[in-house]
Amino acid sequence: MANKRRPKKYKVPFKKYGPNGIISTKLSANDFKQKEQQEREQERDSGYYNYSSKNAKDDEDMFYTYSYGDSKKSSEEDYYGKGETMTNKDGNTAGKQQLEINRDLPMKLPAELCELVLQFLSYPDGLNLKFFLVSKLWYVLCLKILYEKPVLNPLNFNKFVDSMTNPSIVSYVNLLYTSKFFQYGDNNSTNMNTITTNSTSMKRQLKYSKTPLVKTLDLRNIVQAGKNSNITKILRRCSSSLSELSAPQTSFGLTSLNILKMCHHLVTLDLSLVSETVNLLDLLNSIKELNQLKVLKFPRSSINCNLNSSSVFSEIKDHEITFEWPKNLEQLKLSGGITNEFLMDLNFPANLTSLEFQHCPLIKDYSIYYLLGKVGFNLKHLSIIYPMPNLKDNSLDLMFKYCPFIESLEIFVDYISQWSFSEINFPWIINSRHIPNYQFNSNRENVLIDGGKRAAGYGYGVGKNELAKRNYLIDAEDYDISLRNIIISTTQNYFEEEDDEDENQEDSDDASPVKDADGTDGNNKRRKINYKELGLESLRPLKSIYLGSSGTLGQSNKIHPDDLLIALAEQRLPYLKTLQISNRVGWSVRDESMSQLVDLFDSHGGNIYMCP
Amino acid sequence: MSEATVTLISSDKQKFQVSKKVAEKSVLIKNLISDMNQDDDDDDEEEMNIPVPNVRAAVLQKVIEWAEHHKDTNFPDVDDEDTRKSTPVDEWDKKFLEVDQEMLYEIILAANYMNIRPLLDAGCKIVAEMIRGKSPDEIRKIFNIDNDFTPEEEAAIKRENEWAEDR
Repeated sequence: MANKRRPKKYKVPFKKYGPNGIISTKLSANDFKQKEQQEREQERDSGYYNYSSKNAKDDEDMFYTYSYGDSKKSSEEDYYGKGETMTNKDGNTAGKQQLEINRDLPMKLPAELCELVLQFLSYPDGLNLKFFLVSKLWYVLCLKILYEKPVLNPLNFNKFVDSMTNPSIVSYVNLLYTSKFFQYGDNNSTNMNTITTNSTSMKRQLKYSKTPLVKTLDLRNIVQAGKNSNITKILRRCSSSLSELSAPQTSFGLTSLNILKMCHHLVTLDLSLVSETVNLLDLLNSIKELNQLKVLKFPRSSINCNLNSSSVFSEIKDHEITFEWPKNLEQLKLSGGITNEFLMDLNFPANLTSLEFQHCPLIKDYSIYYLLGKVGFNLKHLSIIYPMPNLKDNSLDLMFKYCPFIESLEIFVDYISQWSFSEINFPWIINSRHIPNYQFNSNRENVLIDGGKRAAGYGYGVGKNELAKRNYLIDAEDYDISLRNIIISTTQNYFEEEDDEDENQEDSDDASPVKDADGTDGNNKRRKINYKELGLESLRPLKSIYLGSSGTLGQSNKIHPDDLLIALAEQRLPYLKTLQISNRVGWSVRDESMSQLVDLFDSHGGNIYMCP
Repeated sequence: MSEATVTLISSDKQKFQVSKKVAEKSVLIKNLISDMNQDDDDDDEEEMNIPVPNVRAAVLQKVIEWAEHHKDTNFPDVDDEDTRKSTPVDEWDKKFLEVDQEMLYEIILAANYMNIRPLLDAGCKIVAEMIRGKSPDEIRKIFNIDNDFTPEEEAAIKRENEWAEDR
């Protein structure tokens, strides 16, 4: 069966073909140059004022009249020539008269302002093709806008591939202009003659003429329309400039993965839709050199992540190859077949500020906590999204301890219990200078008291012993991240009041070394300091919470509006402004505590959204 | 403390006395003032004359009128291209910019020169709206541009960028 998708070959009409291939494009270029010249002369004769025609002698001159410096000059002349207040400036009264006749005709904006206008025109539906046809300068400006972020769908994808891969004289015009105008490409080769005489170099130039324009490539809508080879081709062409790539669901093969190595300017790489199996080792290998990469989303299905059993990883161990994350990675979305060992044995990038989990069938809570123990203090955003089949119904209750400084949180009720918003799980965050009589260790301006070593041990529902043994959360001495705030847990009060005595005993044993190391009096701790009563506000920066639910049986009553209401009323979440609740959580607007919650949000200037 | 004023001098040597706060809507002038203040330490009282050589009096007056109106408006710092594009033009600005094309064009150039981002954006949005429904020929007329394409080139451009129409 013939492949209907194959790019059609077409001839560019004004190339002249002869015995030796293309004889000349120069001739035709000359032709329209002459034509332009004629037109200009005609215009001049017709007597209406035209800045650019004054000194435009050939293409180059015409080009330069658009550039900023000159237009400024001409507009300056302009000011003196036709001002209302300036009547007797010496010079052309004739010109002035002409201008007054054509009062609302001339409006020659410099190129960068034309570009701005075009950018506004491209909102919201993209640029209309007619703006391409205004003039060469406009064409180049439009190209820049259109190709910067092409809107692709299955209908136009193949045409787009055609347009990107088949060079034509128009691309050549573009090349000529862009290389001069935007400083793209090789400046030496913009001379028409050198290009036309050296046909291979010209072909090459043409081939890549349009590609430096593409900055964002969103292929998420291309599902079955794309072939592996097409996507690879486009990626290869765009690799030099691409900064944002969203991969399609299918047709993202091994070659494409390898080409990622060449996309040195890549900032965002979204593979979350890729449903073909991806070898993580290959992936990490090809992106480890990308120093500008900040956002990385893993593919949904990946293989070979088990550090212990898989052959690939034993290979790694044998050859002592280590996984290297891109240096500047800030946002990471983990999904696919990653294992607990993967989370626990790898060194995660130090600058990580955003962490997401979704579709991780193998991940259990202890490895998440282990990872959060390492990177949690830096995190500004955390989301853990259904489905995560290996998490239990209260697995994530402790996240507020592990990530005290998060600003936005996305969580599913499937993994938290009502205790997650209770006092016990909310370390009080106070700026160190607000604590009276507190002696600072001069070397460490910022101290952490009772972060959660003990708390983690007594955490609700999480395997007590396991967590206590690991001891990973906060041992103040281990932390060398510089913290701006002190974290003081109110846990000890809680335990003293509610728990039995022998645990109290353990508490003091556990706590004293940490305290002493921080240079404070261990006895201080025995006093029930209520920081709220001291008038110290918690500084927890959490601003927005999204509460979702899978909607499966038994999830509907897990968290009640009261739980949040109490947390807010006790000022545990002083900066919370946005709360988004999925309908499936089952909170009704008519519910009384819900309306109280709404009132409370209103009084703080916050908003509650119910989402489908 | 009385309000500090500066004097702006247009290209045709007309003087406009405006309060410093108003003048500082222009980033160019704001930077100028801070530079000048650095040079001579505490001579705040000395009158500042700032020439604005690229802008003629009538236009400068309009710009100042705009700045006076928006004296207390806080324009958000727009780094985000999308919000910048999607924000509609303020009603007052729309009225204010209902001038003949000549003036609009000069206001835009002045805003560009004096680096007044909100005014520049408003002006360019008005221009964009003006030409949105126009044909290439009409646009050429408005902007006084030559058609430098041959019919063949036009056809090639249409064909090459055809994909952009299918969406």
